[in-house]
Amino acid sequence: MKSRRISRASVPTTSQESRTAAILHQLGVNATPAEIRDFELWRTRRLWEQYKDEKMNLLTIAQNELNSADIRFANGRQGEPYKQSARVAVKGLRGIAVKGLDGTGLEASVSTDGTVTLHGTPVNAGDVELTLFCRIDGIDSMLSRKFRIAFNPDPRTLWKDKPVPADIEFPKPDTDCAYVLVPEFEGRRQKDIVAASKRGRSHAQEGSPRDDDFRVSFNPQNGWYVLAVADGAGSAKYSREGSAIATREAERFCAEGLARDGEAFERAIAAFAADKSRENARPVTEYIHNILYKAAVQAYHAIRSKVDLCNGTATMRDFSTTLLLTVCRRFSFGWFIASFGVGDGAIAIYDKGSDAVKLLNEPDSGEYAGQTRFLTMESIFKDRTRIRMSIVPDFTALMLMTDGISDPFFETDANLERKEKWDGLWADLSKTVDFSDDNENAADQLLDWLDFWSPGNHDDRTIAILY
Amino acid sequence: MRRLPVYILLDTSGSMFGEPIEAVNNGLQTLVSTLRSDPYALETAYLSVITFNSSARQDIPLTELSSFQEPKLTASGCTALGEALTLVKNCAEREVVKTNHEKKGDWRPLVFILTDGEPTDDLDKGIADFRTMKWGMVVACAAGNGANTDTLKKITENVLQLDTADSATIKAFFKWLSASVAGTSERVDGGQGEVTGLGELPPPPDEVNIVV
Repeated sequence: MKSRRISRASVPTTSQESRTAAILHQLGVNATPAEIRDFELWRTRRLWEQYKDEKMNLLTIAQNELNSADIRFANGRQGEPYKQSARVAVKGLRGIAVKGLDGTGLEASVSTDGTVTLHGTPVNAGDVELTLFCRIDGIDSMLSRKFRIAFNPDPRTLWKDKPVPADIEFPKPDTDCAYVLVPEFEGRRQKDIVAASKRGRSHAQEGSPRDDDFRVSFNPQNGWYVLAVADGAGSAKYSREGSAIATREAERFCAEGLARDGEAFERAIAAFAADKSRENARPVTEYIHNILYKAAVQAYHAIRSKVDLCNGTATMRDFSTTLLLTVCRRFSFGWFIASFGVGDGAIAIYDKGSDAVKLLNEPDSGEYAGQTRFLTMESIFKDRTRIRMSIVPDFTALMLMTDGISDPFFETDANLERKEKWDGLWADLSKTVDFSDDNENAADQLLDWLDFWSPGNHDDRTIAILY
Repeated sequence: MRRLPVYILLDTSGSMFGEPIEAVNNGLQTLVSTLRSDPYALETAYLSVITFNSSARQDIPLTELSSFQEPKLTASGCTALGEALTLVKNCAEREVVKTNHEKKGDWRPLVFILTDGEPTDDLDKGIADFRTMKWGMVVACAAGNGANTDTLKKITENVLQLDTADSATIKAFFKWLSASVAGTSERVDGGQGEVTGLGELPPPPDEVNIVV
């Protein structure tokens, strides 16, 4: 042991140490081999630390540069092709690798200029966490940066279709549709009625029933059509029964009234059509009042009787419903249409070829939801402006719809006045529904159309069309 | 379509450094991914994140949930809550759509504030600015005992307090926040009108106390 130490101390063991000894000797320094060895160790350690620091600084600078580089991958959607590119603009970039895409349905490709492209079709909804690894000139360590990309579910898949509990009071099927095929009357071609109603997605999600309803009819004895649609208030517990009673009673009362007073009413209309004087208008409005307005009153009382039967467990408010009611008949001079409306939704005479649309109701929609008026409020009967009438040569369609349809297609009351908005609705309807005469399949087609997708609009939808 | 704007104001001052800010980052992530799987919120709710430390900034402008990407928040500096209140009012004025003839405007915005300390700037000016805007519902939450709930009461009557600012408690707060946004989205979508008080939001979890 001892002899070895002496030999190592006396004889320099590396050429570096010899060189250092020689240089020191030239400088007039006579260092012992032990000192030279110690000096070499000291120098190497110092430089190594300095070297490491500088490398570390470079790494930190490069990593910071990578972290702050504007690299963004937008979110995507499950099942839909995704392609997003981002350039990794970092100095001295030599290579890029992307990890974390296994099983996601996505792949990464990297081009020579440092552009990373993620492409493919995401299999699942949810977050994908991927890591970008970068190799930089002069830095041995790999740099990395994590990204999280969210792949959104298709909103349609989020809506559940929960059945309504079987034991609820006043059950109602989730959908309903009808077609009233009208052959010619008094030698003139007649229009047909198609109507459909469907439980909204927001009700299907909760397993709650459809609150809308409709009732349509044609009397082959006198040529009168009656159309009624109603929207039960979402917040009222028996509104589905309110809308059922409202449409049933109003339609029945109108049909009975027209069967009884139809001929006199028709004479008054014909006189008015020939000379639209104030005197001629009065009997017409009187009949409208006696038939339509009183039908609404009748419907109100029918709901009141139902409330009485509930023995204090329900109020009128629990049966809150809107009501849009129309009677219509073809004459030699054209079509006569009269209406009564309470609450939101729309009644309109749409004629493709004309410049304007005729609205036959004034929607009672407030700025905030839940402010609409209902048939079940006694105060609405003080307001005589709920009645409208019109005589037109012909039309493409008379439409009555609940706000489940008018909201997504018109959004505001002002838009209801705009003919082009109605053209849009009619074009959309015509894509799914074949409005040719006597097409009884139109009822099912209209029901299918009611599935249209409109974000934020998932209420019950009901429409009755005379075309 | 009427959007439901949601402004989230988060304290990123130095006292939030470490566990609390990490919990807030995780909370935001959970909030967004939870809401994305809710059919009402996914379509209706729009989120914005405003952070405040020595100054206030809008980290994420009002963004639909599907394209929202959470910011990575770090904590340092003071607590410029006053400036944050002025900023959220300016942002909302710019971003929230008002009703006109052709378009139904957005629902009134919801504001959630999470802070763990006393404001270090002019709070009264912030409150004065903040009050010029009509908000749907404003909830201020004190994370731990560092924030004075009496100060928060000056901003809104809806004040909550977290027992501590640890990750479990902050997580519980964000869970409640998710449920509140989802519930409000469903409510407005279903035509039941806007939320006006804490009583109409889901009950807060045990770790979150209502300050009366």
